[in-house]
Amino acid sequence: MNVTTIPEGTKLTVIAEGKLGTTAAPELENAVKNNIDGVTELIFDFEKLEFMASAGLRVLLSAAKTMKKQGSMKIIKVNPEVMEVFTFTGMADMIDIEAI
Amino acid sequence: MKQKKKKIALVITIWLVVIVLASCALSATLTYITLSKRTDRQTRDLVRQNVENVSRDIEEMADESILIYVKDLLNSEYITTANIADPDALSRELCEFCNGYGIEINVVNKDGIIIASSVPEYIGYDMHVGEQASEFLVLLDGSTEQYIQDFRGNSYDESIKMKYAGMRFSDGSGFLEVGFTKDSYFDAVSLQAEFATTNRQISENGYLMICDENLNILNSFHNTYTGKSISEAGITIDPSKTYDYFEEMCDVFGVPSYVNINKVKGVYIIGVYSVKEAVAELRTMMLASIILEATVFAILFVALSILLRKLIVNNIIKVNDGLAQITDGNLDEKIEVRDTYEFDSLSTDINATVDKLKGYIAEAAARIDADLEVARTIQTSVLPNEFPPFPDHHEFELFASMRSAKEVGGDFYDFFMIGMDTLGFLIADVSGKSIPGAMFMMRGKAVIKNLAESGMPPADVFSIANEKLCEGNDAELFITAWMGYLDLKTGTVHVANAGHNPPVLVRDGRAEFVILKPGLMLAGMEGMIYKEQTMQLGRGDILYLYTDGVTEAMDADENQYGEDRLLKLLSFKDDHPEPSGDNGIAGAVCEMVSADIEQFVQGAEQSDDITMLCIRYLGEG
Repeated sequence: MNVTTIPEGTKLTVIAEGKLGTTAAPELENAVKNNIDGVTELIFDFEKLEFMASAGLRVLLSAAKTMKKQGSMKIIKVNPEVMEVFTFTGMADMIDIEAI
Repeated sequence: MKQKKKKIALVITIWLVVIVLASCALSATLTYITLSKRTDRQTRDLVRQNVENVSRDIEEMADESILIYVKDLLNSEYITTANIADPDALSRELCEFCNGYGIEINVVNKDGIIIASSVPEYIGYDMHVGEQASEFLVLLDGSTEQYIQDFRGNSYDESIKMKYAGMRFSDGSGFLEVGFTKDSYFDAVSLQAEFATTNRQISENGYLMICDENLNILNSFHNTYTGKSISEAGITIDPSKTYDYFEEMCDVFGVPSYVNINKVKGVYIIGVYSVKEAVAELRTMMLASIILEATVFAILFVALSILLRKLIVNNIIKVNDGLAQITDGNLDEKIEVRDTYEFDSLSTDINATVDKLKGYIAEAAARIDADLEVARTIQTSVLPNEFPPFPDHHEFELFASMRSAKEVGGDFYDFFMIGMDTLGFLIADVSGKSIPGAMFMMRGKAVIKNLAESGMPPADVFSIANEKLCEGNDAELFITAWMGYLDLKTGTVHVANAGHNPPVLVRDGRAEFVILKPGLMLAGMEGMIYKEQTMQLGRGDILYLYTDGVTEAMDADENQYGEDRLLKLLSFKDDHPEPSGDNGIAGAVCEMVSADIEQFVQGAEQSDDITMLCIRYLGEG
């Protein structure tokens, strides 16, 4: 999985490409942790994300908790498969998630 | 900006250049000093040698010419047997002959008495008497043909300095003695000197000069110099001193030169060699020498550079390449650069270090494995595994299984009776792994069970459990869970869903996912309120709960088992009927799914716990 971060002042966009499984989750976690200071608007672009496992959920949940104190968080361009995971874990009700 | 390190080859090349240049300079200097001295010595020797040669020639030939003169005189008309018979007449003739020429002629008989002489006073003189004269007596005993002396005072009168030469009469009747004054002798000498110096050079650039006792140049290679005084030439000669190959440096006719002066037979032989010419030769030799040295050093330099590259740089590159392989992850790669002692040693040491590291890694991996074993043991030990769990209850069949992955996913299930008429059951999936996951799993299970056994509705159980589990959850783990309370009398199931996979309901052979609005997973976020939901089970209905270890089981190509396949498997028809077995239909269903998953993955490594719980509601009676 590839993670790209695009910092734009207090807005941070994190693009994840590929499969977000157990081995890939730390990479996403680091990308968020290293860049989250001072961010008031966090956006996850999951257009190229094929798949997500629970390890990925943990990273997103953690980010959501942090952003709850700092500003806002949004996950955009989510494909149906990944959307399903968000739905039945109840994440869809907690986090602002937009389908593709 | 980080300073780029210089290449070792470059550093050594620069040093080599500096050293080579320094060596060249030092060598050139030493060569110059040595050659200078040598040139100086050689030039002096050359000049001296030439002066020597000329001196010797003059000495020999001066005497020789005198003897020839005497011989000529002996064979001439003056000295005949007839003339000797009349000595007085002969004497008068001799006197006439010698007059003004500075020579003296004496005829000596076999007894050593002068019988005729150009000097009347000498007639009757006995040669035996004087030391000088008596030396000539050797001409009488028949052993010697001729005899010549150096300039000296004669026996008659010491103050008279003459050079005497004598030659024996062929008939043995005596000998002829001729004496030369300085002047007359000098003519003979100067003739020779002239002869010796004409056309005579010292090498290409030197020359000789001859001057008389009056310090006038008699003859020289350079004709223009003849007749000039030696002091005009710039050379000072002190007539009172002896000159025995005397070396000096002076300006000869304005040209700085090496000079060698030898006095022989009353003449001064002077050798002259221009310093400039000597230096020019030196310069040529120096140039040749430097070119040779530079060539040698250049070859040395190139050879060293090549050697360096071959022996060191290339080998270092090879070692680096090997190390790159190792850091890429190939820990079995060996460094084999062994053509010199140091590299052999280096290779061995690197390989030993890598082996050691492999050992440590293996140890660490083993420790992790041991940890995982502990976690797995914890996990399996807390899950109820006696089936049927409640043999007295015939309202339902229940079976559950959990097969943990190596990495231990922390799945669990649980079931308990709440009062006589309610069966509580749940399935859950902890997000963490290994020991932290196992510990959180135990905590979660205990918290939920405690709350549930108190009779609290499932949604409230989750709400409170969520708060409790959020506390002290530094690792930020969470638990998805699906819990149901089955009313054994009515078949109603009160459900709480904390983000877990929807279970499958199989009714009359038709399989469907039970979609109920999920709350967030437990320990995800504080302040969550879970809403209770309800569903209904009819007699014979099968409710199949599972974790994502089932649907996300992967084969070698990373294809997932998937929800569709599960649904299809749980759809029972004539050609694929409801299974049955020792553990009832519920048990058989679980075994069937397990077997199907195994067949699907085809031996690929299990990445997550495969957990399932199956209930078949039979109803009362």
